[in-house]
Amino acid sequence: MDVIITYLPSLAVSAANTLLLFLACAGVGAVLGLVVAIMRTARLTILREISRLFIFVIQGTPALLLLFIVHYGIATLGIRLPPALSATVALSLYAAGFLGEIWRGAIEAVPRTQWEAARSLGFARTQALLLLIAPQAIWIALPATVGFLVSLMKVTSLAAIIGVVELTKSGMVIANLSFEPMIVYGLIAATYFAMCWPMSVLSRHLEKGQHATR
Amino acid sequence: MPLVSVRHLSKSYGSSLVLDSLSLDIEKSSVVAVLGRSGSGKSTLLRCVGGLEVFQSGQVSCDTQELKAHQAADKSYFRNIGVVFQHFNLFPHLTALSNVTIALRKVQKLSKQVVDERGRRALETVGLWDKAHAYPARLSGGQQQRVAIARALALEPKILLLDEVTSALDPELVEEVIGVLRSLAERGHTMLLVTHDIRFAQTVADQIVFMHQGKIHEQGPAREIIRQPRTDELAQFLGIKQN
Amino acid sequence: MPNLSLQFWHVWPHLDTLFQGALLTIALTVEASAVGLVASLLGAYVLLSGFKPAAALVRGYVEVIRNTPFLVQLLFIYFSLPSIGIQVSANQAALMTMVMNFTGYTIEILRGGVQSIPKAQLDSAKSIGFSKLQTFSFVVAPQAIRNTYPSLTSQFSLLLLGSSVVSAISAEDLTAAANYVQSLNFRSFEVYIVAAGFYLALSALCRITFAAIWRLTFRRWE
Repeated sequence: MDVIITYLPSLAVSAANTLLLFLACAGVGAVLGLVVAIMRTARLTILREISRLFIFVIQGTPALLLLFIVHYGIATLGIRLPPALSATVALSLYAAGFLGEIWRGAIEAVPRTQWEAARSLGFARTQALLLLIAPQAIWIALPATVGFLVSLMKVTSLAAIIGVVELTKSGMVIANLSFEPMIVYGLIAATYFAMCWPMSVLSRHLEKGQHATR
Repeated sequence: MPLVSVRHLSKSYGSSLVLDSLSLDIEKSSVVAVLGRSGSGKSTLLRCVGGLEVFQSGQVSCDTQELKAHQAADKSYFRNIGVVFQHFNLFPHLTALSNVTIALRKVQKLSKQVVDERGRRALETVGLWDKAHAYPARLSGGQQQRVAIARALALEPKILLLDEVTSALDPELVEEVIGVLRSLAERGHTMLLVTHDIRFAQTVADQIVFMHQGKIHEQGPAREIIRQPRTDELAQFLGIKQN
Repeated sequence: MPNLSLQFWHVWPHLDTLFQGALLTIALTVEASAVGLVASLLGAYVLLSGFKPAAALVRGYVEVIRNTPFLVQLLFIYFSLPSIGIQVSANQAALMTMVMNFTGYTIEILRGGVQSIPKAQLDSAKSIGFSKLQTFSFVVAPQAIRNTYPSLTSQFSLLLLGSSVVSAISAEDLTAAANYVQSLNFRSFEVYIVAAGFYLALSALCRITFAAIWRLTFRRWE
């Protein structure tokens, strides 16, 4: 038990690492996901097909494999990345594949008549998308987006497998040192729970809010 | 010179012909109502004139602008027209005033002074200046439609196109919209309205055009054409038995 | 300078190993979801039964599963059980965790499915003399599964892909097989790409199977 208490500070640092990794992947993933969503709803077929393929591959590949491909795979081609960077790259692509699809759905859920009204007022397509359609799409996309962020937070735990010293990896090390796997992993689980649960509650709350305005 | 001139306009959706070589003139300051059954092509006609549909043959000219066959309307075409839709199509995330002024700000890029003035005038014309900062969700159907009319008016278009604007409203809300349109007509606005409501057409329009299966069957002054339909189809539409 | 020459032929002699891994992945997923489905039906039943303490326990279970990572759940099971005297193999721990995880999500799905069944169905069941258990087994469960079929099949797919994590405790699944192969031929990129291809193929296979199951059983109930 004392071993655990000695290591609490490093657990705290690891939790911070998890948070940092999460924010980095969410941020980059969101930007990429936006690009994917816009490509997915573009008028040029080639753009739509490329983004569709991207989403298909990302959603059909286990997150762990994505991590392995970026970290170990790219290494055999000669580029060696530090684990944290590999994790950020891989999980950002992962996030982009899911967020892109969620946001595409949201854009398409905005009624066609809104586009028409914008057009009849003289708006060009891109202007209409940014000023008039996007605000509505964002509102529609909110519950699923927050829901996905919960998944992303949990997926960051996989970075432990390629050696990133985040919360789960620390847990593995400390569980070994202290011979108290139940307590340590229980503690780790509780920490993840503390980080995820508020977002889950928020997502459910947002979903109810949507149904109320119908 | 008519303000709007439609010449031999034809449009098909896939294999079905919706508009059959239709020709129509709309004079400045006149109010033309297009009557007809669902499927007669009246909404399609309005949408073609409004640059919202691409047609296969014919020509539409509005003031100095022209629409040709197989061509999507250029952005500048929309300066001349103001469209009001059946289901209002207000932007739900913007206040009434923002709805009315957003095109002036972002598309026509007018100065703040001009925008504020036009926005206020448009909302006052429809009698909703006191609701300028309300969101569409807080307004009744009739109020939303009036804001939609203000939005079209603020563009200072050459012609107002109104597509079944009372059809989605509860009966008691229809009056307020008709009232606004009547006052617009009195002020000399040129309007093309599409409706299946005979009473609405009679109350607001100078000219009535009756469409059936993609063609114009009759047209003439509003009062006369209703009282004395010359074709069977119009008589049937009006519910008058012809022998 | 990066050496971008891809040498997929190095993977060819090891395809059998990968194939074996894929078989275990499918086996694990099918077993876990079958057991999980039954457990979830029970869980949904308890949740809707009105018996507050049990329902609260189920609710708590669902929230814990949904808000903690699968890897942590796996490590917990695999390392904690021996510490209280229960020996588990990697494959066993993998199966147990997959059942637990699947159940956590599926209970919610089936709860919705059960609630969407019209009350009239229950009245009919009562009037023909069904006991509560019979009503649940023959009337409620089949319809709940049918109503939530897309969500259920989607959960299965997620479980299939998520199962790759069990390679972390060396359960012998497809990802573990890929790990092994790339340690032999040092072509990590190519091996993992092929493994990803296997997963895509497995997903496609599942989609076809689920569509067939739908056509052969559930669709005819309309």
